[in-house]
Formats: sequence, C-alpha cells, structure tokens
Amino acid sequence: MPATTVPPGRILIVGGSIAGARTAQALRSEGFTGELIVIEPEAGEAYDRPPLSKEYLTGAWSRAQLNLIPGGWASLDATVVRAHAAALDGQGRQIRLSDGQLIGYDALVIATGLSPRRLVADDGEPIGHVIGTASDADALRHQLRDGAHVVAVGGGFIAAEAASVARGLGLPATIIDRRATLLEGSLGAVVGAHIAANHRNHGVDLRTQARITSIARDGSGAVITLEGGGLVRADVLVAGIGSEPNTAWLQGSGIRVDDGVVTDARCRAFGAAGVYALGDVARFYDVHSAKPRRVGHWTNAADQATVVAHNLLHPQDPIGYREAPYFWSDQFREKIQVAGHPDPDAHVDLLTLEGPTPRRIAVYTHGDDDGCSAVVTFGWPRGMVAVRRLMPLEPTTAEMLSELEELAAGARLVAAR
Amino acid sequence: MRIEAKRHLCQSYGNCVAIDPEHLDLDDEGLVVVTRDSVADGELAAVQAGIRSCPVNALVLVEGE
Ligand SMILES: Cc1cc2nc3c(=O)[nH]c(=O)nc-3n(C[C@H](O)[C@H](O)[C@H](O)COP(=O)(O)OP(=O)(O)OC[C@H]3O[C@@H](n4cnc5c(N)ncnc54)[C@H](O)[C@@H]3O)c2cc1C
Ligand code: SF4
Repeated sequence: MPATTVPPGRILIVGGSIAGARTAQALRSEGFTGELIVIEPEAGEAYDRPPLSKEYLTGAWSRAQLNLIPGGWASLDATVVRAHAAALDGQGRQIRLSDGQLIGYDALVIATGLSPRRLVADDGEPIGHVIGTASDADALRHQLRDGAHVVAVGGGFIAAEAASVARGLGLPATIIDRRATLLEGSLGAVVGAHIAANHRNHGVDLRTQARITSIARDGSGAVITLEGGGLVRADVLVAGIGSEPNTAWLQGSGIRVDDGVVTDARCRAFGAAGVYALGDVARFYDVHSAKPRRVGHWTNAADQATVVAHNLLHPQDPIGYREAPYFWSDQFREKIQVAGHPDPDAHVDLLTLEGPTPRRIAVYTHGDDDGCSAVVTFGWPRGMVAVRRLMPLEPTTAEMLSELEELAAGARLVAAR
Repeated sequence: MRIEAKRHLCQSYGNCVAIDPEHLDLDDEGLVVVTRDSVADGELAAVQAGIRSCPVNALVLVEGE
C-alpha cells in the first residue's frame, strides 16, 4: 500500500487520555470511517487530568465530570483494548501488548504521555503520593482530612496546587523546594516571588532553598530532614518533582526517542513509516524557535490532535503544527493563565492595570526590539483572551500593554444570548 | 447546526475563544458567550475544533437553525 497517499484503513492509538481521545474525536469528525483501536491500560472512559490537582482533589467534582468524550469511546466507534503496549515492530507495522497479543496497524499514533517521578525513602523504596491518574488523586484525597499536615515536595504546579487544595480544605500545608520562589522554573523569579507571597498569605509554610537529606518512614507519614538540620513531619507527603515520558515500550523499535518521541513539525515520528506522536510524550520540531521542544500542557495535546488527524486523513495535503503556547493553573481560587514563552532571561514587569476591577498581570519582554514574549494574568480570563488573540501577531510590549490597559479601563459588556 | 454553551460548566479557560473567535467570546465574568450561534457549512471544521478545545465539554453542536 502506498501509505503516503492513501488514508489508512486501521488506525491504532496508544494512550487514551487527552491526546488520544482528542485525536480519535478529530478523526471521526473529519469523516474517518475505518477501524479505530485504542490501547489504554486504565479502566473506564477517557478523563481529563488538570482537575486531578484542582476540583477533583477537593472533592468538588465527580469522576463523571472529568469525562473527555461526551458519549464515551462507544460514540466514536472505537475499540478500546485494556493493556499496555509493550513493544513496537515498526517494519512489520504491529505492536505487542503486555499480555503478548499482537495488533497490526496501517497508522500508529503514540500518545502515552508522562509518568510522575516518585520520592524515594531512606529504605530505597518509593514513598508518598503522586498525582498522575484519577486513582492517584483518589488515594490522596482520602488522606486529606482530620487536620493532616500536607507536605508537598517540589516548587512546580503540582506542588503549588496540592498545597492550595490542602489550605482550601483547612489543612496545614508545607512546600519544600530547592529554589528561592515557586514556579521559578517555568515563570522566572519575579512572578515566582509573587506566587510564593500569595502562598504565604494563604498560610502555606514555604521552605525554599531547601535540600532534603533524608526521608524516613513514620507510620503512614514521613519525617523529612533538610540540609542544616531542619525537620518536617508529614502526615501526607506529595511529590511534585517532575515526570518522565512513557517511551520504554519503544526501545528497540527504531523510533527515535530523545527525552520523548522526536517528531517533525507534522507530528510524524522518525524511524518507521506511518507513525505519529503527540501530547506530553512528543518532542516536536517547533517552527517558532527552530528547535525540538517537549510541552507538558493540555492545550498543546489538544491542538496537536487536530494536526495529527488531518495529516492521517490527508496525506497529500499535510499541515504543520504551530504552537500557540498557553497553560493555566488554579491556586487559591484564582486562575493563573500564561500565554507565550516566559523566557527566564526576559525582562519581567509585574503591573496592576487600573479600572473598575484592578487587574494584576506580568509581561515578559525580550531582546532589544521590545518584543513581548509572554503574559501572565491573575484571575482575569477576559484579559487572557485578548492576549491570546494578539500573541500570534508578535506584538511589542507597548502594543500588548495598550490593548490590555484599554480592556481593563473600560468595562466593555458583551450581550449574552 | 447551532452552537449551544452550557455556561454553568464553563471554567473560563478561553480555549474555545482562541480557536473560534467568530462564534465565541468571554463576558466580563470570564464565562463563555456565543456571539453568533449559527454555523455555516464551511465553518463546521473550525467550530468543531473550538468545541473539542474545551476541557469541560461546555459547548455542544445542536441540530436546527
Ligand atoms: C495533576 C495534573 C494537573 C495538570 N494541570 C494542568 C493545568 O492546569 N494546565 C495545563 O495546561 N496542563 C495541566 N496538566 C497537563 C495536562 O494534563 C497534560 O498536558 C495532558 O494530560 C497531556 O495529555 P496526553 O494524552 O499527552 O498524556 P497523558 O494525559 O499523560 O496520557 C497518557 C495516557 O497513555 C497511557 N499509557 C501510558 N503508557 C502506555 C502504554 N505503554 N501503553 C498504552 N497506554 C499507555 C496512560 O495510561 C495515559 O492514559 C496537568 C497534569 C496533571 C497530571
Ligand atoms: S473552552 Fe470551555 S471552559 Fe473554556 S471558556 Fe470555552 S467554554 Fe469555557
């Protein structure tokens, strides 16, 4: 079969989370009538992940509210096989499942995402919670009670959101991180300090610039020793220390893996024909920066799904992926939204825009040309919509600010229908 | 076809508005509003992409004018 010109008859999607589910939906809505098989070890319908450290962890949302596909997999006429993919034979176009079963394909979509890293106790065994799956979140949520002291390790989004949820439930919370501020790795020190101050204001005990020298088991909790001798006793320990791409099953397949599955700008993997990769597991060629990048955010996975589906079905008219970088986090009932690349070397202005409701934003400027590389809004979704509209036009910071100042100043009403 | 927004579900992510500004916007509270609900034939793919971009499935396409 000349695979480059004819749409595939059987498409196999490995990983049935955001990237996999959105690809399946896009394939069907673009009119794909062939066979669709999804390999996903987790039971139940495809579900959304961001709420796992937010509304689902507080108990405000049920599992049903996390459903990603309104009518479920059945509505997409997709066959879901509950197993792990264990190996890929790219030449023979088949995968082997953990139970030994072989499944062939015409086109393969790799959407296996990430697995969170675990903390390791002094005894060499993993300790504490992670938040990667709904069952992880269930296990953690059941511990968030009776005044339990919640200790989150790491200064990223997972730790910050876990601490925020704990405080929201009235529990004492501590964050231990190596850096001086929170979210410093992704947002830089200026915004990091602002977010750290917000956590302190909400009663989080922040142990920054802290190094852990020991984690000893203590009943169902742990005693953590910090460099310099400080002790933190945790009833509930949560790791937010990063994650690894799920690519072990691709070993020996010939598919190029380098901290993620490497793809071109069309989301095609290298090393075998008819193989695509997207979402958190993919390191795609970013046309913006002319470099391969791996992005662990929801919108990236959903947007790439549209590209993968199109390219699978229109092999003669392929499109490239152009990232419109955007992500969000919810902390202390405030939505922190980020568009663009908050480059750590950029100049950052933390501002308050005047208006009926004063709006707090951070604007990142890089280079000599006053280019605006990123904007962070705090609790101002409408402002973020304006930012996302403007961002692809590569505005200067002055242009970005004048747009946002105008929006903040005038309470422009949109009639709801 | 027509777009319907379940505003009580909306979490103000703004994804849909970024993808489909022709039909959708956020109001001052940050909740989605449908600014033009009718979907022309040629727009269907863009509209569906906007709907899929919503993490909480707050948008649906319904039959009829
Ligand atoms: C707790 C949490 C909070 C988050 N909050 C935000 C947020 O606020 N904003 C934001 O933009 N992003 C957030 N994210 C990131 C966002 O959820 C991810 O970008 C998104 O889940 C990526 O989707 P994916 O389908 O690529 O990967 P994943 O969601 O990781 O899914 C991968 C799937 O592949 C399956 N799988 C793995 N290995 C195999 C195998 N060998 N065989 C078969 N199947 C396999 C897994 O079971 C899983 O279902 C958050 C993530 C988490 C975990
Ligand atoms: S994407 Fe969904 S949650 Fe976000 S603004 Fe649109 S409707 Fe609301």
